[in-house]
Amino acid sequence: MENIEQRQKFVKQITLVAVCLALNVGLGKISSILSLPFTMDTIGTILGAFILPWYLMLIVAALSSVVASIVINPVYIYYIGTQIVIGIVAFILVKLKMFEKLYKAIISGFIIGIASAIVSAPVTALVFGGVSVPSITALNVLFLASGKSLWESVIRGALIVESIDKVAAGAFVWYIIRRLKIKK
Amino acid sequence: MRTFISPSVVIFGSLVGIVLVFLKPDVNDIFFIGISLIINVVTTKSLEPIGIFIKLSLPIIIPLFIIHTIINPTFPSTNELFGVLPFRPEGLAFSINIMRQVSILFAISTMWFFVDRDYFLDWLISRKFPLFICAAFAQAIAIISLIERRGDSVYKAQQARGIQVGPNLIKKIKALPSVMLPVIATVINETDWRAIALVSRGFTCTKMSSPQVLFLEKFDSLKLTILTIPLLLKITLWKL
Repeated sequence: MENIEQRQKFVKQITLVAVCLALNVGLGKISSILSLPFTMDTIGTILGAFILPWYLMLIVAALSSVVASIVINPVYIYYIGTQIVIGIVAFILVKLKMFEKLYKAIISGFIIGIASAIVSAPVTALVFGGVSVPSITALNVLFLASGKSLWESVIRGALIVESIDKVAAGAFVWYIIRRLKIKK
Repeated sequence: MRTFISPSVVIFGSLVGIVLVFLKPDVNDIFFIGISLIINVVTTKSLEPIGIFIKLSLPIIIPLFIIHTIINPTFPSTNELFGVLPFRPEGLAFSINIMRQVSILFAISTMWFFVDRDYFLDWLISRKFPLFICAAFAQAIAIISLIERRGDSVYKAQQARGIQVGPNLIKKIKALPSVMLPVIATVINETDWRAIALVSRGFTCTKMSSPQVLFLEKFDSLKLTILTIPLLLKITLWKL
């Protein structure tokens, strides 16, 4: 009996991995349909930090880039490190109970945004020469035109866009957790 | 007759491409891009791979050219384009190098577009790849289309109920929870049903027989050899 229960629990966790993966990619697509200024492509990873053990959350983070590169655009695969870092930071923040209040969730989103910008900027600079999603590219061009170096421009652009995007994601995750009564 | 590329060829091609990106640029990079596209065209018997390659590359290559050849002031401007725009030869050289690596990466990505997903999962399982990761991957692909469909229907339903979901940004952000939350709640609530369905179909209960998928199929060895030529030539020229 215990064996069956353990098996069911394991299968449920696998299904939750699939759901978190799908939320990362699916919500990203919905936000682009609504023409929203944020990507929402990390909500599944942050939720995964709540409802999954750390190793499965890391699988969600890594596979998100793989699935997004298949379903949306292959460039996502080069940002696999960003998703993994977001997952690790989100897991630590969940452990520190940083999603219990709205202001804490906003701070968490900001921290995730900074971590995400630091990890994704080298990929944008070295692999894509500063070209990224349109919002970040526009800022990069602005900083480049003002005389900043490529690295400086890419880091500044990523910091601005990612911090706003992840603050929105953090606040939205707080709202989901509160409304759906999800507990760690 | 199969019209999709074998995973072995694509994985090997990806490894060769990644090594080429990190080596000194030369004409063999263009050779690799050409070979990988030809393999794609021959296998799929259509020109679609070339279209996909162009569709993926242009949104990166055009801004790259404009940013570094015209805008980026860190590269000195020596001439003028059409007598108006500054022209920066060093910026052009830099953007060509980035274009080279981006094109190699997109040539690899184009090959991945023509790998059959079901066949790839069978290939992974037959190579003893963890079954639970394959299951999560396959389910995620199915749930994504479900989320999109539900997102669209919830969006229309909320509009019909009189909730303003646009056109300006503030209204869109205000409407966000009313569109996203029902979609997320449904998907999470369905997890139990999905798990029960998987268990009832025997997932993890019995020892599954893995599908028999060959590592290399007809002509795969030839494709692998051809894909290696640019790398071998590059290493040989480098040694000389």
